[in-house]
Amino acid sequence: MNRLSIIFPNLVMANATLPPNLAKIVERFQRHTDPKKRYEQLLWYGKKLEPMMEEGKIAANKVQGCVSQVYITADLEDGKVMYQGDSDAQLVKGLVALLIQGLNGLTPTEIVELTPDFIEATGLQVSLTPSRANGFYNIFKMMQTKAIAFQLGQSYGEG
Amino acid sequence: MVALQIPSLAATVRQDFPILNQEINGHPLVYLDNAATSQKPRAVLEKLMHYYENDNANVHRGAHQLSVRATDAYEAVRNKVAKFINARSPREIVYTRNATEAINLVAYSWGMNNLKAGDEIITTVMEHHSNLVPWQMVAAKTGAVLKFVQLDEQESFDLEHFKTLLSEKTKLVTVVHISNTLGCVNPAEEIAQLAHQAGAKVLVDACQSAPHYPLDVQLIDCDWLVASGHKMCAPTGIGFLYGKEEILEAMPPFFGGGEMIAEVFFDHFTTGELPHKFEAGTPAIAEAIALGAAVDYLTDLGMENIHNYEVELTHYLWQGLGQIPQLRLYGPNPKHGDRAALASFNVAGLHASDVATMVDQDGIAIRSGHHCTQPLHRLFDASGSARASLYFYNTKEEIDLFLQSLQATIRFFSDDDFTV
Repeated sequence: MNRLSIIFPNLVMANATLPPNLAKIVERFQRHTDPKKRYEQLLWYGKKLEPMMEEGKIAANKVQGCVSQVYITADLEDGKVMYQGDSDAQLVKGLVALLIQGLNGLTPTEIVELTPDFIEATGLQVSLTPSRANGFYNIFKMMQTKAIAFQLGQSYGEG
Repeated sequence: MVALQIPSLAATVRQDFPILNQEINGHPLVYLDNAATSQKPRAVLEKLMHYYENDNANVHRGAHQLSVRATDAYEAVRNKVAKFINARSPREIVYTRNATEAINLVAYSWGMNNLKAGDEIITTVMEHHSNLVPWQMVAAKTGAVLKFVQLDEQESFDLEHFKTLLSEKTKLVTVVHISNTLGCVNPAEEIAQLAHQAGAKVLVDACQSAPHYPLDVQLIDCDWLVASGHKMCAPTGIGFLYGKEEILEAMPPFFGGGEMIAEVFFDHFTTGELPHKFEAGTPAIAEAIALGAAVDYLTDLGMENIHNYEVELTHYLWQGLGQIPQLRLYGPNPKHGDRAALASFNVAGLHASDVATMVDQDGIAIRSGHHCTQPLHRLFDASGSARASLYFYNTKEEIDLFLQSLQATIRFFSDDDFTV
């Protein structure tokens, strides 16, 4: 942790310190000055999201939140986390897609060390207050929880 | 002859609500989430401030001047609330945090002690979770059974079905007066009359009616009625339970503590008088006093005037929404009769949260979700809905802005050609 990050912890997530895919996504959003364009961008991510396996849509993979249905699954391939996800709300699906594109291929440790505040840099009005209705925050936390499970699996050996 | 333009109710009250004078995302705020909570007029905000600046003290326990003033102001509001709903006496008004607490008070104090296995509680499929879950808890504990009145073809309370559910087993009928999702106005008087004929008690959830309609508990003849202050221009944290005096007298206290006692010994206590026996602990004094300012404000405007203006808005809103072919509107159409100034809807192929998020970009605050009526949404096979709900400070111009934004939102999601 550098000195700046101790004084300004929120600056830790400046684009430069983000994983490359996530930095690219943030940068893409920053190109838009019109807020509606940012939502078009989000919709576009959602539309090109790979469909998730239907059998993954079970209670254990459901993200808690009272507004829309969101499912996230994770696999570990060669030490890298690969997520799948879906939502019945298109903008939320965009957030799921953005996170999947930004995080897939990272190690569990890299994912666990991330903080969700990079979303503020996108200019999307996404709250970071933990609450039952906070789609983005709860999706992000669910993804981290799945990464932690892999981390524990790696440290202690499978089974 | 030149016709005089009479300003709308909204035009005359608008400046009383400082919060409405702001921009959201570069657009003037259009606040259409009034069924969730209303905004507060300056008179209410000033009352809160005045109380803390001048009179703040604990109530019912000090001989000193501030405590006397605080107690007088706090108890004077009980009279105002009693008058507002035409209760016989302020002893019939119990302050609660909100309507949810008021229902729980009845559920625990009366329900747990008076219901037994096989007794039936009749409620409706349109209830807010607050008037469902407490009774599920009572049913689980006592063995009482819940029965549900279904919707008629207008998606309103099915009175005929209700009649078929009533029997000598019915001990309680607990119904919402106006549905926060459907907007239908349930025939509370007729429901109470039929329920009483069957020997049952009646609770009316007036959360969505108290802010919008003149209420008369003696006319309705319900045994209990509950409402939340924050939906009727008052602060959060204050609501009330109305109960017929003899029924409240017979009910044991719900919470124990200070304020609700007559005398306390090491091994027992004696209960205080009504209504204080239900008000354990230091209450929301400032909020109660500000509720009084809200009641004064509404009374000055006139509940009839508020209702009449909202009827006009309702027709305008429904007419506008009716022009959008992709919409599924829930609840009765105003052309069939009185209904609340709100509209719950879904746009074909769109999630309600997407709709609410996009109209918020235009400064328009609507609700999306299940509005705490999950079972009702399940009946409609919908995971949720969007809801625009109005109050007397809303204007037709605001409804126009909402309709334009909604149409732009539908275009936004149907347009696949955008480039990024």
